[in-house]
Amino acid sequence: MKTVTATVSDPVGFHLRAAGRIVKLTKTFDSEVTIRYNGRSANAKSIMGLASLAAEFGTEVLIEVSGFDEDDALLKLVKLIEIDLAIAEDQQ
Amino acid sequence: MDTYQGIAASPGYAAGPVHAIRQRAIVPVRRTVRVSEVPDEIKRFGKAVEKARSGLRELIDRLASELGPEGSDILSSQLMILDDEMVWDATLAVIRLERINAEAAFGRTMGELAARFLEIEDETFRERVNDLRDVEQRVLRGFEDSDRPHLVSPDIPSVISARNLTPSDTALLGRNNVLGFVMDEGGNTSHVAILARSIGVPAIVGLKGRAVALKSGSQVAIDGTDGRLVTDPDQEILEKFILLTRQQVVVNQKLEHLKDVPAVTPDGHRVEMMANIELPVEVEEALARGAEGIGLLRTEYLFFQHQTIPTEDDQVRVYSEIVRRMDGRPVIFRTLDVGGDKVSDYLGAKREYNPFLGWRGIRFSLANRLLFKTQIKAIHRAGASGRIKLMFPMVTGLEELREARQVVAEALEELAAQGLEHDPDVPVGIMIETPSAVLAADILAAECDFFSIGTNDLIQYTLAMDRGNSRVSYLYRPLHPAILRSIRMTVEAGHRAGIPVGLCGEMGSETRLAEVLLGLGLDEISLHGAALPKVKQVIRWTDFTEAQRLVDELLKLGTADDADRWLAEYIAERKRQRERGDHE
Repeated sequence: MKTVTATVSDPVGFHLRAAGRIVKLTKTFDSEVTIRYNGRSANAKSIMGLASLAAEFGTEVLIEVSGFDEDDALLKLVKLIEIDLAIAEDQQ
Repeated sequence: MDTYQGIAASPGYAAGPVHAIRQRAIVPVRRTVRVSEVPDEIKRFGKAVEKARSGLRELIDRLASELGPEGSDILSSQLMILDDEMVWDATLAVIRLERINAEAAFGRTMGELAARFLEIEDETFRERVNDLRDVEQRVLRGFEDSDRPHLVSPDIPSVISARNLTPSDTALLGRNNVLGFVMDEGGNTSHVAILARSIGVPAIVGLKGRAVALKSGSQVAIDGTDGRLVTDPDQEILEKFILLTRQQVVVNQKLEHLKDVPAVTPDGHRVEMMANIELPVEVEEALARGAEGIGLLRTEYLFFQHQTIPTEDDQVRVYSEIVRRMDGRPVIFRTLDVGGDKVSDYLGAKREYNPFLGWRGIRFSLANRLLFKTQIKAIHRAGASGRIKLMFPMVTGLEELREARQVVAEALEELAAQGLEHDPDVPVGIMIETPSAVLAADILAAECDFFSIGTNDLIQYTLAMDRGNSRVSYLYRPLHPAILRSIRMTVEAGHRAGIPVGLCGEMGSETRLAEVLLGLGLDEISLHGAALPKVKQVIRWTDFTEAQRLVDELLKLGTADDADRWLAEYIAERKRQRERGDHE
């Protein structure tokens, strides 16, 4: 299992749209991914779970990944949360 | 017989029996199952979800055709909940580990999720709980064998009463036999209000418990123009309302022929008649009433309905639809106007101590450049489908206008670089709704292409009164000399600079003020579609020079009371003249 922190770049935080993008990416990996924030944790393959974290813009979340593709997953998730979420999906 | 006051959400009158809609909630009963039955329970859960999903899909299709794609998006998020991994995992785990029936396991999962959302100190998430409950009920209904609809349409013409109706409820209800709506919750922009206006039936919202207290079959009379509900009306009131309903039809028929004629005074002065709208579905009504364009397209709805920021493509879709349906007639887009009374927590606009003087309108947009630029790009892209103009709200000075124009320039550069189809040459105007914009109108006019006076805010800021505060709402006086002078100053400054000056705001919809607005020299009046034909009629039978004289007289008066009286006498005299004219 590997863990890393990431700063939320989405200007409105983990709302449904951001959660949806994280789920879409996470589902491409075999690894189990858990995201922790403010004493809560959520399965990163669940939109409702992620949204209920209510992680705000500029705060740090902890990403835990375990599985054979964990390195790849970690890298791509950090990029999504720290950089790509700042930009609307259709502008990338 | 009792009379209750609510919020007038759709004009008109109706009288008839109540059709009460009670949203019956299913409470799952918990029962223990044997280990051997667990696979069956899981199968039952799958089937119930499938039933809920196909029901939802059907509703989405129906709503999409009724409201356009943005209307159905609300329900798409419910589809996501149905397919959510956590919802499935948790439900199956409860069935397996605690060996209880599927509906109870699902109910508990959803309850826990809702509790988690309720803990979050953010309005948006708490509102999401309504979606969760809606989904929960949908699935629980899926467990039931019968396909009995949870919502029954009226068999005879009736007034629909409920706490509130969701878009899916109104889609299920249909339009047959609906005389009008009375709701306990909601405001002017709630779904029911918009639907009622688009199908042309009266609606009263915000009745705070009076609507659900109504029994099916009891008689009511509703006045959607003033927001009054009369329960168990006596014969006299009933007859009066039936008469009003009939008159309404007659007046509408009389005004019907005005649809395709321009608003030109007998002495040849032309005023453009435009409509204020918010949704694609309102375009039809605007055109049916003879609107020559959209003078105010509010864009907030899209941002509020989603409760997430719509993407550029989402916005392009909805905006283009409106522009396309207007078929070459101009559409004035007002960029996002949040804050004030339209606080949206999810956009980061937290409640403020003094919201109307706070972070709203163009201030909010300039502080959220990315969001602002995205919207401006979407609007310009929609321009490829017809004729559009761009308008900024709450401008108080040249700095804001210049900075906003800078964002427009950046947006255009990006659109060109991306090779996206768009209108590169969109006129840019501003709302005149603050006293500072009025006083600096000549300075502002030099750097923009048009003005549109927003009278609701202008009156509020000029007279320093909060319309929502019942203790001072008596100060809302459109004919206050300061207001008349402000409008005149703005029109003069605009015309000196050679730019057109329009007006959007409730003042435009008041028939009694039509001559005043004409005399003030406005080039364009934008108002609610329903009021358009009447105002046009007044303009068509009033000489421009006479209206100017009327305004000169009103401007000499010292108080709004005097001006109201003068205007009332003038209108009465004109009516007598017309009636004499008719007999000759």
